[in-house]
Amino acid sequence: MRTEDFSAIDMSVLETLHDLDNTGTIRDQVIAVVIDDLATHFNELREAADKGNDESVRTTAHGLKSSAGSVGASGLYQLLGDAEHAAVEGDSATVRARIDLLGVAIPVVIASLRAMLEADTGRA
Amino acid sequence: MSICPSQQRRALVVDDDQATRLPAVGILKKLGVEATEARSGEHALQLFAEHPAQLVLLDVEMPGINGFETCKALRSHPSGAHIPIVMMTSYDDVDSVKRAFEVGATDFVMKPINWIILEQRIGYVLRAGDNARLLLEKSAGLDLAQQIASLGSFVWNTDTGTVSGSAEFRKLYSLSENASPVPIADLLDRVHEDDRTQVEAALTRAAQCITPISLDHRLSRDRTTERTYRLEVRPRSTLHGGSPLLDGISQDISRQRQAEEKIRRLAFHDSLTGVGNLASFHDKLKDTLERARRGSSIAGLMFLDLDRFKRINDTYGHRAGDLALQQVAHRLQRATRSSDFLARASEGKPLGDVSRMGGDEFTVILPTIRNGGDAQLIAKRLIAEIGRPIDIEAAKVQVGVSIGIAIFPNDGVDTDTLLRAADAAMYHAKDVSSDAFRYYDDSMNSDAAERMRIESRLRVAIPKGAIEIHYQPILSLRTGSITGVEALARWFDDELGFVAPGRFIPVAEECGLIDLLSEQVLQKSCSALAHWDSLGVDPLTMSINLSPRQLVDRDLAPRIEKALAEHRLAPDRLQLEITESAIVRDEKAVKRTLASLRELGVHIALDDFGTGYSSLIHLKELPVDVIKIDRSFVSSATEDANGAALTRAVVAMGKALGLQTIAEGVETEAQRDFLVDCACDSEQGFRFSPAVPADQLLEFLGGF
Repeated sequence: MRTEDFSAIDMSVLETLHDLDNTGTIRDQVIAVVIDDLATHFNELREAADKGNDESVRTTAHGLKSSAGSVGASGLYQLLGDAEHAAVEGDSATVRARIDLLGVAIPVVIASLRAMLEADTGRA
Repeated sequence: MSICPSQQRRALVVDDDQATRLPAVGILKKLGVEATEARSGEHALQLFAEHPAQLVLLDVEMPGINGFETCKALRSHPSGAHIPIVMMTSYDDVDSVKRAFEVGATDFVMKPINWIILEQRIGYVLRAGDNARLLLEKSAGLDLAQQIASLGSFVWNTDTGTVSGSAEFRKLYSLSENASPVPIADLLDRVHEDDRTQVEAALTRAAQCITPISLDHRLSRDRTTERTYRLEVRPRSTLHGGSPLLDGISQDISRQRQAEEKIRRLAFHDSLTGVGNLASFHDKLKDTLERARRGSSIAGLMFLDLDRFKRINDTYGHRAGDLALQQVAHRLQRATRSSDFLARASEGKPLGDVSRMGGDEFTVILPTIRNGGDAQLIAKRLIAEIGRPIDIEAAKVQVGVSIGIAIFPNDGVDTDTLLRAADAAMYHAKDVSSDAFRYYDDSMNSDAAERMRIESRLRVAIPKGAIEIHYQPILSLRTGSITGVEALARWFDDELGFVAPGRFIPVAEECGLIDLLSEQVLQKSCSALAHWDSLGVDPLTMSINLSPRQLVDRDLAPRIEKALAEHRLAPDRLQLEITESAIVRDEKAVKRTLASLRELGVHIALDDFGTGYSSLIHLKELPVDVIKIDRSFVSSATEDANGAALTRAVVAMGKALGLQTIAEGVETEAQRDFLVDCACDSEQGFRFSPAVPADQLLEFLGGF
């Protein structure tokens, strides 16, 4: 997978979220929550990895993976899944490698999501 | 409680990830389900305890207790046992899925969640949950219904040879509470030993012939006391591996059986005594005669009527009478039970079958007698048994019995004829004395027929006042003048002609008309006496015979007092005649009546004196003023020396006791002269005059 693929967003997931209430309110709420989660918890993930706390890496990666999945951020979902699995295995090298990639991909995803929100706000 | 479709359903969404909770809540809202959010397992359990939900969407990985533990805890909650719980997780390993179902998850969805599919799945599990709840409610209702009806259902799989039963079924047969199938042999093991072969054969027939069966069986003796179950088995229409599944039910019908038995007992047994009643008597007699006919053997029928039973009712009350009847019935049953007594004849079976016909009448059917002699032995035994004193609460009473015996086929070949014959024989036994038995003979038929004719005509004649009163003069042997008369009932019927008192008085007593007749005699006699007084006839004494029933009637003295007052007659103008046979029926009551009459001032005469077995005792104990010497003494007085001596002694004894003596049946001058010589006070008889109508009597009295 190329680096840019890690920041890809499956738009069909967001469309589905949009259709849940036909207003996009739920989708926007979910996006807002996910942006917040990614921004907040990625730092926690990095700190846990720095401390070599595999269990904390596992649970944090699992939570972020769920958030990423919610908005169709499939690349992030995969990287976080790998990090979670590597933490379970005690494979700190893989954990570190995935966190590095996440450090690049997450800001891109957040930016994309924010853009969607702003576009919606602008439409409103 | 059934599910109401319009009822607002609630769901609990449990996930620490708000990004998951938000769309989940949105879907639920879209489906019309009210959603509550919980961020952890602990939070979820707290909310569920406060407001149970009908659906739970549950994340697995959460801080604190995880989804598996939460699911387990929800399932242990009374409201959470059967609700749908859908687990949401990104764990895609087999162990997690397996574990989710082990802790009670209903369904499992993978993250990232496809919300379109989840929406459909929630709709499905809600419908399935509704159906499951309906099913549970129906199942609970069915369990309750089965419990109330003591009815268990089961399925018998003939392939595996096992039965799976409902809770009530397992309870009925004391099977394990565990719902897992048990071998059919376990069921048969619970069936009563004597019924087991029959049940097994019926079940085999149902399985092999694919046919429904229905049969009753008892439970094994060592399991319970006398319980009866109805077992019904029907093959199921769908086949299972070539062999049919059979559906069955078993119901405890013990109470129904007991009720049926009670109804049967009420229908065929006398409720007071427990012996057979009239309905069962006819059936049994019919059966007995049929068997005797087929076996060319004989059979007997006894008709029993208690003597002196009414006295118990009158003296001690009806409850005492009922107790006496129960004792009598018990004794009859015991006495007709087979023992060494006529053992060969009965071959171990009861000698007789006892029924109560009503009142104090019983019958005993004798199916095994060899001849009339056997019936006689049994009759004697019954008389002895019934004659023993009966303990009734604080008192001891004694009754007798009169028994009529009729033998099949000699005295009748059908039930009605045989019963009539035994009844007629019983009446003849009663005429002889108490505690007697009589065989039926043909003459009794004509007697019975005549008795019926007399009764039929009497029922018209007495109420109409058609019985006339004739008066037989009583003369002083000293002066030769008429000092009194005896009132005697005389009946001339248009159809029967002249009917002697000896024929119609006993019938009037039996059919209860004697009270009315006695009252008429009293009224007419007092009226006649008052009339003669008004004509200036020298005052006469009026003798009236009292019936045995009158002698125990507590109201007799007041009625006589009233009659005397109405006709302005002094009490000593009336002389009431009693017989010894009437006294012995109920001596205590008679003494009470006589004491009241004596107090009133009327005279008491002992009629037919000398014919009873205890005359002297009666003279000593009863308040008697007059003895009427029986005609048998009078007739023998002039025939031989012994007769003369005896008559002279009787008169002397009366004199010695200070009693007036009246000789009855004086027919000749010689008899009169003898009586004068004995110093007897008065005479009565054909020598002077038979009983005559009132107007004819007036001619004797001086042509008034």
